[in-house]
Amino acid sequence: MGETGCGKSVTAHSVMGLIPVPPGRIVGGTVTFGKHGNLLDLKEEEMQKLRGKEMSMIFQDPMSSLNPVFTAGFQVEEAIVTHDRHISKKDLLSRVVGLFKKVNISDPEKSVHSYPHMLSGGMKQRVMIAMGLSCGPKLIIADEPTTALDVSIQAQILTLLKKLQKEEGSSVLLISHDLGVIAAMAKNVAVMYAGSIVEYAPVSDLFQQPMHPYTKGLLGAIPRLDRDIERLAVIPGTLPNLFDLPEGCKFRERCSEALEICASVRPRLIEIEPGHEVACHACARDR
Amino acid sequence: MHVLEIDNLVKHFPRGGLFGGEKNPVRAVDGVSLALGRGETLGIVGESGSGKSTVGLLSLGLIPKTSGTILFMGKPVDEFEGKELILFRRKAQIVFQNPFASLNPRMIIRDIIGRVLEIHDIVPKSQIAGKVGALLQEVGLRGDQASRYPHEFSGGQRQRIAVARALASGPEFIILDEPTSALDVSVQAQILNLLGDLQQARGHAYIFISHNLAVIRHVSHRVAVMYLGKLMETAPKEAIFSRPVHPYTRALLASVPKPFVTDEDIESKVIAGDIPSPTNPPSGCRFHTRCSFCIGVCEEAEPAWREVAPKHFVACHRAEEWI
Repeated sequence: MGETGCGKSVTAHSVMGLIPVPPGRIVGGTVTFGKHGNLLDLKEEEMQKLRGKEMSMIFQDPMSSLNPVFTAGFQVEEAIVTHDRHISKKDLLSRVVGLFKKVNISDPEKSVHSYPHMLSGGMKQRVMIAMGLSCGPKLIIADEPTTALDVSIQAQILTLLKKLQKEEGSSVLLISHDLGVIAAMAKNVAVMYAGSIVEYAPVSDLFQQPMHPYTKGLLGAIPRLDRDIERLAVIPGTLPNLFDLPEGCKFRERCSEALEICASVRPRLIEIEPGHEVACHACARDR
Repeated sequence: MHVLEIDNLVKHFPRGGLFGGEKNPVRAVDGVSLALGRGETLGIVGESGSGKSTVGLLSLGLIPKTSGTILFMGKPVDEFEGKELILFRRKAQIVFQNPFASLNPRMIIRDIIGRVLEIHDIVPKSQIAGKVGALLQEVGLRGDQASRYPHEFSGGQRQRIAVARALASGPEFIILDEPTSALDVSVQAQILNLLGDLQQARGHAYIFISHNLAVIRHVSHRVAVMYLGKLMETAPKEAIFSRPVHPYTRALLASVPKPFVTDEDIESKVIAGDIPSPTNPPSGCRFHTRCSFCIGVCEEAEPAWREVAPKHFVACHRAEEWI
């Protein structure tokens, strides 16, 4: 969870090896993925085998992530054939129809032959999800999967993702700026700010007792559907320039709880309560 | 007197076929009646294709209506000409969703806002720069930023500039068309607070158009819920959020994932089906194809628009059962 420019999408793209090099460069750290070890050490061909099969991605905008000149069914078939060259044409079609059924696309036998423009936004996102599921991945990265959708369609897609996760047993890395979506979907939440995780906690802890001043600020800034708020709390200032980050804590200049040490030492994530990690000098001192 | 009175407003967008011939028009707005009081904020909420933005454009006379009436201070908006039209433009302003598209990238801020002052002759030419500075300060920017170009500002700052431009002519009402949808949560809070402060200081009215129900609750005095070009329900804010009547309003409120409510059972609250196309809307009640309370009459007859509680209007055949 995080606002524009916090690095949540870049994190996901790095995991998938989708950062264009150049200009991008991964300068440190590791991405450990089950038995495959550190993904950053894998060759491009080896990554290619994992992408789509072991890990897949659902993007924000289903309008632009499907190719308009191919049928929805063909695009899902393509994902399957890439990892299973010997599948017969008949099996392929029945597998796609099965996937379309699984994601509740209306009239699946007909819809596989539909072009993207013939499908609604919600249906297109279902095609994307079918594509993501096509090879039974262990990890699904969903990057703002409902941001482009209407409220009533969003609820359908979120329900579908939850149901499929239960059935398939895949892990989901959900990226969102919508605190409501996070609350409904997540088990654990990482809050990002200016490129780092500032708080990591089980979802109920995060909303019941947020610790990092940024998280507290965000929770105070959202209008509530269940009650009236006289005036929204405001986080003063703006995001620091990522080209020229300040020394010490990146949130210091906007923080009401800043200490002297915050100006010089960048705080590390510390487990303050079981399972609840925060990168904040003030939080660490108070405990 | 109401600032704005809309009665039975209809807007159909004709669609020509590629090889000639007429297709069904898009029924963007299909019989909407609304009134906006002085200094009031009317929230219009709806999903895509509900016609909420079209109502905004029609109220400003920016697109011609198909039928119905739109009165500004008791006078029909589409009959304004010459001086009267200019005066109306001065009193009716708009802030668009995307501040990256609504500010001319080749003009500095002083000219973007100064042009409004010049066209409407608000202050003498010599005082334009000073007035722009004052307006910028009013929206929380610095006067000396007037000589910069839009690209030098962040999204939130640009939206402040768009607000300053709307304020420049001293409007009676401002249409806010999804003014914070392109902004981050923390920036949204700043803009919503600013809009509230400005209304308190200047007393103008807002029509606040949004798909975000929580934002609508926060800003509105009264709320109108639209679906496929029709009004489903209008009521004072307290009523719409604590005693919603129309099944669509109730389902919409239930299906928003709520922060602070973790592990919510969203499955039971989902509105089934897709939003039908406004070119071929369902017969009878437009929501009947997705409504879990649909009965025979809903498919045939359009429900009457009626007052079920003081100032609480609903278009639903079964409204009385749920009051």
